[in-house]
Amino acid sequence: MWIIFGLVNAEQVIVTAVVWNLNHTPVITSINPSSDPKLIARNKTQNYTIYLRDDEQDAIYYTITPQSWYVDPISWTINSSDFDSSSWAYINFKYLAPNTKPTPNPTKVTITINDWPNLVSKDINLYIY
Amino acid sequence: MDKKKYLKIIFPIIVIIWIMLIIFLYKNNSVNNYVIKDWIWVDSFIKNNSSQSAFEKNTSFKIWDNLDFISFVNFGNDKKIFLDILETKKNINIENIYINDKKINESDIKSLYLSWMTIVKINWKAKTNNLEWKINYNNLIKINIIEETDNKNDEIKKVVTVSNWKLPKNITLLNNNFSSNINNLLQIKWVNLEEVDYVNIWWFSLKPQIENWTLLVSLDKDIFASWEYFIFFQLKNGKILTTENKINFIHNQNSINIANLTPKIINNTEDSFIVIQWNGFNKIISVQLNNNIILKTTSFKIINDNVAAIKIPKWLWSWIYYFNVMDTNRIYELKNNTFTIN
Repeated sequence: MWIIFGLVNAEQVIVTAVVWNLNHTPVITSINPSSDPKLIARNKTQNYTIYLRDDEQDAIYYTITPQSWYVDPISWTINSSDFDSSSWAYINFKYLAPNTKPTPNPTKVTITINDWPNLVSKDINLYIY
Repeated sequence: MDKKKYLKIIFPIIVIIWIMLIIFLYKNNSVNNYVIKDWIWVDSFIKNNSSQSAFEKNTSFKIWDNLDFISFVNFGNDKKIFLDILETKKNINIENIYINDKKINESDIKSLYLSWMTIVKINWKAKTNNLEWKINYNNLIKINIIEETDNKNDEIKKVVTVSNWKLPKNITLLNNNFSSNINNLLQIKWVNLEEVDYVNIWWFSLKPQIENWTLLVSLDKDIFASWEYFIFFQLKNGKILTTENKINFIHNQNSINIANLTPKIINNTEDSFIVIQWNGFNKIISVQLNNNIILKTTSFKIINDNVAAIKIPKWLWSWIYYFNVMDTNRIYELKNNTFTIN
């Protein structure tokens, strides 16, 4: 955002703001568990919670894509009503580790968060033992 | 050529052909643990529990590893047999023996009445590793027929019937159609869930997890060919439970596939991102819509090989669309996943 100040006369100041994108990008604030990479035994499940903030509380479409093995859900929607009064919301998902060590290891789960004008992605790293 | 000369040439040839035929039949009597002896059909698998291997035709193991040896034996009709494992016992410590999921004593194997299809399972600890023990999987158990028997023999039914334990009921697969291009989760519900030790599909033995009264079984991508597979269960008490449940796999040979796109409905009032998921996206060089509109290269972002975001321009008219993506070799019409513009 650019802010331009112009002096018109002694009593009046005009402020012009040029905003490139009116809609704020949603921000991932924390991931629980936060270990990076997270150690997970083979064929075990791990629950994750991703906390995020979106000032406009837009509906957010998210995807969760594992490089190796399975997550549930693989995509879903956060509705405007799911945000709290501080514009926070969260995503829960479950990761199921493979039966054998994956290649590559560490592996990753990619999260995308899409509020339409903006799209952000984040990788969660996992080491399967 | 006179008759004697003719016989001198022909006779050795016939003898040689007979010898070759006998050798051929003898050698082909056992191929890949698949043995036919006196019309007994045997298909055997071995699993190393210590290293959590799958059921395989052969496996490597260390000294004192715990192994399961399973033979599916088809006798043709009911028989009284002697199960000879004397040679094998030199290399193993037998822990348990099961006949059709019924635990038996080692002394019982000298005289067993078995029905036409029988599962012989021996759980043992190896006294030697697989390199020192020049193991012949075809001869781990020898089945000697003592006598042919009558199907109506009550004694047979007493031994082979598995009705002395409660059969789990209401086995339900939450999904039984999968694309083997991607990792999948098989979810199974039934009444005695906690009894399941392994879920077996084909020769793969898979350790399930239990969550919310559901068995979760992870299915590796690119393992199962397009086919319909039976499922059977190994229970914690050592029994094997066969079911009528089947799962279907479809494997797509394409190097680029979409398993999911999000969201599936967008408005044409503003530019929108659609995120596509699953494989081969690093190869994408161009994206078109099915109405032949080519999207600008700046309109799609390959996040990694498994995730890509495609910006859909707002001026498109309302319709149902799918993506045609191009790599350096060809165009892939990804018709299975569509999205709608309102």
